[in-house]
Amino acid sequence: MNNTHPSDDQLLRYADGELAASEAGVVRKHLEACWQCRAELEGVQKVISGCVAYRKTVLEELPAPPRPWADLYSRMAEVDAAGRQSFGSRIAAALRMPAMRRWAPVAAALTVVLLLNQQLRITPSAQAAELLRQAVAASEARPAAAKRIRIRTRSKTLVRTVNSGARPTPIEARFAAAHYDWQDPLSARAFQQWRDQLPARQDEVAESGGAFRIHTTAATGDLAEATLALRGSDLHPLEGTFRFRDNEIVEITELPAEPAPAGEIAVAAPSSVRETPAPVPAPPPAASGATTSDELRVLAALQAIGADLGEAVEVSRSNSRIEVRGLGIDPTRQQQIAAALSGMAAGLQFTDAVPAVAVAERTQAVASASASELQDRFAEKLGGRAQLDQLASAALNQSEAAMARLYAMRRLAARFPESAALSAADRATVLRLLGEHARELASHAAALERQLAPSLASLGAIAAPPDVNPPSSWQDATEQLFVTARRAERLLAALFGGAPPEISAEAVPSQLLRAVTELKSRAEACQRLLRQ
Amino acid sequence: MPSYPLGGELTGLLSTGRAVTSLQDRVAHLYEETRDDVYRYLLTLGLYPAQAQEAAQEVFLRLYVELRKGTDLQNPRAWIFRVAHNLGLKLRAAEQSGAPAFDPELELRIASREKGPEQQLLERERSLAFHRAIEGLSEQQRRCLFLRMEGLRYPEIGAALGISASAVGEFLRRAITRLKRVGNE
Repeated sequence: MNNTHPSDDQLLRYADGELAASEAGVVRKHLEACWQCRAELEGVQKVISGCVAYRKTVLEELPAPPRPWADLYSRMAEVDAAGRQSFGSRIAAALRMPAMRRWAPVAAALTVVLLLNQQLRITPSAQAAELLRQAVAASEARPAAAKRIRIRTRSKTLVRTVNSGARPTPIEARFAAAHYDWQDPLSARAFQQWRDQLPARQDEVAESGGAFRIHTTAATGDLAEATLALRGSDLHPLEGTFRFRDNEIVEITELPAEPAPAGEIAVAAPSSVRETPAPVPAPPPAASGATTSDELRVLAALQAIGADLGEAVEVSRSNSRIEVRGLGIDPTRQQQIAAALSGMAAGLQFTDAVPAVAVAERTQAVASASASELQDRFAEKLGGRAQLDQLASAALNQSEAAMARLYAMRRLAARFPESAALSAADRATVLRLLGEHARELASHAAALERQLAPSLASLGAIAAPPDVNPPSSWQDATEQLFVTARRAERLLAALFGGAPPEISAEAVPSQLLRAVTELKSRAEACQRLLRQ
Repeated sequence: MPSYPLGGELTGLLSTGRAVTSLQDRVAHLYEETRDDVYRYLLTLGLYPAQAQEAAQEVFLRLYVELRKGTDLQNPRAWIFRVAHNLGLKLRAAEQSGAPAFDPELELRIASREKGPEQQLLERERSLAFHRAIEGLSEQQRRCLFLRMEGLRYPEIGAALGISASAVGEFLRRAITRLKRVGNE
């Protein structure tokens, strides 16, 4: 017999089955022989029984668990959706609100947002309906003031004063045919009425930067999809984007109220706009004031430090000088901007951003069945979700960088339309600035093509030589580039999640490949044009 | 329109769909089985009922995320309690500035348990003594004991508490020694 009694520690471990087999064997043999140790062990077992009884008592005395427990399936589905969201929300943000995504100096009253946040747990369709209902109520509580909106189609930009008896226009006919009220197109009521009469529709509600975006896709009707952005604080409509079946896109933004002639005026005429992202041309220079050259110097200095790529830095020209306004720019960056502009006749003004609502960007994208099937298939081809995510992230970075260049080019195009009279030197400066953007854009497009082409080919995408007519002007080229890039963005969204494809899922890979190739060719063509 | 080899496509879709469903079912099953224990365990950590409820769900969602990543969990129950333990302490720590921990006044409740006739008096006394003895244990001893009560093995408890398995054994031994005295009184 083994005379060495096991220690308390060994006995407990033995009882708990935590001893190595050989050691346990030794202890078992000892216990068989030693009454004293068996009694010890019984003591341990008694305590364990005591613990079990105690646990039971405690459990009975603690507040009872919830009955019934919340359903875990829906939350697991959210997790699944979130897996696609990291880029899905980025895409959604990029897609829906070209103008608002980087600017949105939006005041946010927490109460409304929190209230809505509660409701955002419900389905997108119910969210959209509820948001619209509240927005209509809110707008009816406000006095009906004349408001100015800017309407941008592919071919022209208009400014129109609402509630002042506007003249009928071709756009009106278009909206009328789509059953969308043209009286006040940028209103929750108009959007709601259109949405309500749709026989079949799909809604998405996204929330970011203190604004809500309702995106409704219609199965039928002339208007294929519409997005309405509502300010979080008071649900005031900020911007509407409308895509018609023939792919005409109309963007409507509100302009700051200002005494303006009634009706619509073409915006080659003067109108200074401060709070809208893409400035329309400033008034012609006063004889003694800042000149176009001064403004260009400021623009060039800002471009040199990349401050024209998505930061809320806005340049405008008053009669006497150039105004540069920055919103929510951090102090270090403010210093960089000030340094870049030192010695120039520019007024610099920084404003703190309105504190954003502390809610994480939350997009409840309803990926349609075909979209997620496409994704699953793509993930499989690539060798897994991780690879898909990686590719998505890389592609989206390129596409985002390309879009930033395009927005900058578009601002230049809006500021210096074809009709603008520029001195030779000023013209050269504009072309140089554009050339830089076009070069970067071409390189992003090329990178995008390199990243995507092999994987898209594995999905059966067929490359086709792009059919690119040489653009007549750089403004024209910019607009075409923009349309192409937006198409590529949408297709990326369809491929990587976050947006239902507008075309059949099978066609997405080929279309995307074509869009990317076309973007590259167009960017190169634009570069050539600018060099001439 | 490009075409795809139909068989491969379908198999891929079906297996992906099935995998997701069965994973969700597996987590839902564990949730059903374990959630009350997790909830109560979180209460013993000092979380308020509503907090414990929310945290318990969070634990199972994390489990789903973990399994979705393809992690092979040998003992999901141990994993669940380890995560619950850490989450619970984190929530408690976040609240430490003022709000007292949830205290269900167990002693009072045990003392006033309606157990009927006189013969239950002894049992009640013993419960109270046991409760006081447990309250008298060191924090680590108590944590080890509670996790052991939930069926975790020493290495699993160690992983939850960030100590070695042999340290767990030592804490438990001391706890048992102290609790033994209650039985002997």
